Amino acid sequence: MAQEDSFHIYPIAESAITIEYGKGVSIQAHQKLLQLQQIFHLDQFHGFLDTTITYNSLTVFFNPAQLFSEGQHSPLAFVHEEILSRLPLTSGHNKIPLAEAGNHLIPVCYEGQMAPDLEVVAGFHHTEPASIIEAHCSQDWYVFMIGFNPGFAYMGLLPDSLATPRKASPALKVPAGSVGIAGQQTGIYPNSSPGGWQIIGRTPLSVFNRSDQNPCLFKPGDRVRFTPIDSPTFLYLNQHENP
Amino acid sequence: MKILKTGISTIQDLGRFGHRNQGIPTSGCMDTLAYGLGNLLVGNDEGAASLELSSGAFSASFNHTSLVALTGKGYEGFISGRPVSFWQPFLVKEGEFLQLFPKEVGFSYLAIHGGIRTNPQFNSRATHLPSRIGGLNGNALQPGDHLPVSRFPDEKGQHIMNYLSQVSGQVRLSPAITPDYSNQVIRYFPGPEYDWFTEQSRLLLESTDFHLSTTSNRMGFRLQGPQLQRERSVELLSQPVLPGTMQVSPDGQILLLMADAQTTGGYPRIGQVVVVDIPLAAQKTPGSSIVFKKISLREAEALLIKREKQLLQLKRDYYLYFS
Repeated sequence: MAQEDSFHIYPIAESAITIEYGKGVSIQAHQKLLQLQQIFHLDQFHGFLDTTITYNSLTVFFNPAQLFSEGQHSPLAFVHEEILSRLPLTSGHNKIPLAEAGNHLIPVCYEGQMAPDLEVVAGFHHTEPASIIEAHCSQDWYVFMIGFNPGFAYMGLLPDSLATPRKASPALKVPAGSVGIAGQQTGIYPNSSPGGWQIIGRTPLSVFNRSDQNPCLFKPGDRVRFTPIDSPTFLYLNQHENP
Repeated sequence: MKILKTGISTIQDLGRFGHRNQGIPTSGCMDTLAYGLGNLLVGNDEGAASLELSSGAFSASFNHTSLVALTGKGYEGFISGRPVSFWQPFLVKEGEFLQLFPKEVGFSYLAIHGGIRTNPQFNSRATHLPSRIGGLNGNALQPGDHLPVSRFPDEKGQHIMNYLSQVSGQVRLSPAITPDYSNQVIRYFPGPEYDWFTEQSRLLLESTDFHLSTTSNRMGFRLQGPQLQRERSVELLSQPVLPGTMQVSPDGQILLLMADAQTTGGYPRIGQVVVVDIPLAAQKTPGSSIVFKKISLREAEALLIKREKQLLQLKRDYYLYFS
């Protein structure tokens, strides 16, 4: 089937199989993976546990012990079949519509100590900080994945005029809400942590709240637009415990 | 159960699924085999929450007679001063104290009939300390904590308790089924980026001793060994990682991910430790050596099936013994 040719399926553990789709990274290919992800969560096979979506892959996690106790002598082979049977549902007349994506307007203060690496990023592109801010706020960014830390959204893809390499050595402490750039990606640190991204601003919004039933502000497939605010507005809107 | 004294002890279960796409790690117990055998011994369902002890002396009091088991490595146990063996069920009577003292590095499990009944957070009771999720308000245990447990044993639990209340009522797991923590060999199968490494590095992986560094924790173990060189130098797009994943950091050293592993990582994955050997790896002492042995994923799955068969048989025999 031509359909399956563009999918590359391989196990990464006794309990996990990865499905890679397409070459390189594109929003279009990622939407296909999101569709597949939705299918796995809506139509769960026996032993299904979870998925992890990344830029170019979807990984299905399952419980091999449970599958064995239900009579499956090769849980990997069983899940591989379950995956193959769901691939046709991502295209043509079988296609299941995607759940609605979120659109977020995120205020960011690009000033002073909240933007420690803004000058570096501007310098890298031989331009002024103001044009970096303008470019960062000029279009919607697509949320490809959430990983690294709870709630850390990887967004992109940044044009060459914004893309900047990571720092040579990571900062020991990046404050919660920090907005950074790493290569073609931009993202927000949900909590204070060490980090290697170039920090160009800070949002007063909390993007991950462990006490919430739905702890993450973003989900893969959402779109995010940044908008600049000044530091008095930041303080007024601040939701972080330790500003 | 009231905690009187504790070092680093957390509530753990089989981990948290359904929230990986929010970046929330699976977490859960480090030594799944010791944890699972503990639950089996006290007549629990798979996945009942237990205590994982990793450092410091521990003591707790019980306000009603409880069916308890100790499994894993690193501690020795006493009930009100009397030594008590690991890998067997026993009763702690109302008003008695259970004390555990560390004797070496390792993770020990305290399983109690009915399980620890704290409120699950995101489908699990497992404590993930870095993000303060699960457990009791996301924290490790503190002296003075009261842990909710069931006062009323189910039928299985009652049978075991009746047996243990007899004068000579003792039963212990055969050493044939309990883990051999002295085993140095850890088996793995090649990871998705195995071919990114030079042939020499791939050979070194199998022919050299690796040492566990002292900066190891529940997130992962940093191994010290020969520098593993890459043939391909492209950057990896972040990909999923899980307990047992052998990542190679830019300095050429192996990071062996453990229970608190993050959900995704950007370092190439040279291998994946076979699931039945993760408990042995988890119980390694800093400084001790690991020898990696390559097998195929097919063989790894066969080992898992073999172990599950043994455990199902053991469960059947064990409960039959008391009924």
